Amino acid sequence: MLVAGLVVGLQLVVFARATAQALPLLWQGRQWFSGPHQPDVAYLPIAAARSLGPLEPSIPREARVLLVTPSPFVLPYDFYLAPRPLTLLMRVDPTLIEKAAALHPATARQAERWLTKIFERGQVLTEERLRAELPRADYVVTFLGDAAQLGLLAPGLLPPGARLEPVDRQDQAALYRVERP
Amino acid sequence: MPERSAGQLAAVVLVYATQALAGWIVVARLRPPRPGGRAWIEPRRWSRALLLGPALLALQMLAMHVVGLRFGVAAVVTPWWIVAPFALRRRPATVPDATLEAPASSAAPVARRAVLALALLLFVAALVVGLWMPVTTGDAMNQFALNARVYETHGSLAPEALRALAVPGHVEYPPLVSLNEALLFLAGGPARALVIKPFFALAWLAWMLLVIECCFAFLAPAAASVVALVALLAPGLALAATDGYADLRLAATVLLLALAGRALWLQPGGRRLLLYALCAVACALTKLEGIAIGLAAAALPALLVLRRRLPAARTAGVLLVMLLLVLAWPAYTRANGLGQMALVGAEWHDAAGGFLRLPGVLGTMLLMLVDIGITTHCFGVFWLTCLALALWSLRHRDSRPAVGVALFCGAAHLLLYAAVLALTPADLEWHVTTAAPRLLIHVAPWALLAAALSRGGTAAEPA
Repeated sequence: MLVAGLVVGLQLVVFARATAQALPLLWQGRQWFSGPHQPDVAYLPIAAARSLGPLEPSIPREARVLLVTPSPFVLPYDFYLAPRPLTLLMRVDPTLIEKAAALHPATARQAERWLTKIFERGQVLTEERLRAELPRADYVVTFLGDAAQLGLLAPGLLPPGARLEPVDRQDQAALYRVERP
Repeated sequence: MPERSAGQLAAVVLVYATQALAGWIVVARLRPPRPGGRAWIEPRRWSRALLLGPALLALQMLAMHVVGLRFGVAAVVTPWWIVAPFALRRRPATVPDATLEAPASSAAPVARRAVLALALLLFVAALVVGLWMPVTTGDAMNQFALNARVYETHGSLAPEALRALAVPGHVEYPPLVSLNEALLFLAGGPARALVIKPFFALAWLAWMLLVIECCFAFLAPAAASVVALVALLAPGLALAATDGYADLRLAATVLLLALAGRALWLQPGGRRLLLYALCAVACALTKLEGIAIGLAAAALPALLVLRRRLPAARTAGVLLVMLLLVLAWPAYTRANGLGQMALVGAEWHDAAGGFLRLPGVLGTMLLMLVDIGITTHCFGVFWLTCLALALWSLRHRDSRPAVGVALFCGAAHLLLYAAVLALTPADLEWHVTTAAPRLLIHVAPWALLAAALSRGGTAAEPA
């Protein structure tokens, strides 16, 4: 009986300790949904949910969407913009892996594989890629910056006479329609 | 707008009710309730309904895709509500059922009710905490919600749309969770990423009900209470109920498969075989790891046929359908070029390297079993308690065969996971530290079962 009590008591302590550690983190996530922006990588998926979800109804279902972001972190952009065909361009800092390795070597080694996939899929934000993708898009979404900040207004990226018409802005994302002559 | 939200909430509730109803219908057909019994409050029926209902809805939606019908809430739920009045009509039970009507010892009810009350409390807590935050990232998004969004928006499995995703998640993942999520998305509208959270708390409830059933059916009340409490309070399991991952659902289905397998072994019969086969299919449709479990599950009916305890022709038919359903999804993803299964592809094939890494991986996983509080997602004293009870009972001839089989299944399951992890083309340290704690959740049912069976032949054990 004593052993049984000890076993259950110990498990209760472990349970209380683990939930006391986990619940504040979960509550923090909830707070982040309505609070100010956070300078934390863990905030990015919440920023995407806060920003992209409300933009989605303004985009026609068949529209081809180009999403441009300065963040190299892979987020589930398709989830918020489906079923529209989506092209993604992300700015990749060449020193990213080096910086990550200083904090968490194993994650950095794995991140190298993810980065390779971004390169293979042609999703690195460059002027050439923008020049190729902007004219094909019907709508452009910018995340964590606007068109000017992300260099989308540079001359020569769009065909002559075409321009980006602001449609909506939600939190950290902006939506533009590609107006063609 | 409020009317629309109320309508969407009602539709979400209807989907959850239909998942349970589908499970109830199949459980009622396979194991008719006793005359005069209050079947609707039997935890044993609820656990099975909560696990098998979503599997049936997933099979229904797969069939709809095959015949070209578009997914829709009305199209999926209506048939179940039409069939329900006929299917749930009471019929006299023909044989007492070892998995559903296993008698508990007379001293058990008070302790059992207390543990059941705790389970309900934990379920409500998991439900509330889960609803704090929608699914936004991680495997909850990449393995399930992202695929579900494609199913929702296209009204079908839409393999071409999955292939065209800008950030493909695990598009090869088995569809049980995603299809049920897609149905909830269709019902829930903009709140889609939040309305799926109760699906995971319900899996936790099913797991807890099965744990309590298992412990109190086979152990003396005091020991049953201890093992059940230790299992219910394992933080790694409890916290998994809130995050949108499917590991708890798979673990609960594995436990149900093991219980159904034990009942089939003790008293072979056609309905038990069907229940067992349905559990194996549910495992295979839940997670990639479940496909291996579904395949391995074929061994038991085959063994029963070899021992002439099941009719060969009928068992072969059930096994054939079961294996077809288990293998249908991997075949479908391969044919449609969706992702890449584990162990498939040249980068997985460094067997020599994998062999050298196996002891390290296995050692790390074993250390995780004895972690009684270093990490948040640990199991506390769950493994130590279960394994101590099981190993101690091996001294007794009565309990040795059953406990031995449960321990063997657990060890084989663990070794399989360690071997696959050792072959991973991903960074080994990253993969083991992120995946192994969740993989151990799938192995937990074997430890629990071994502990529960440690008492050997008792009055509580079904004949």
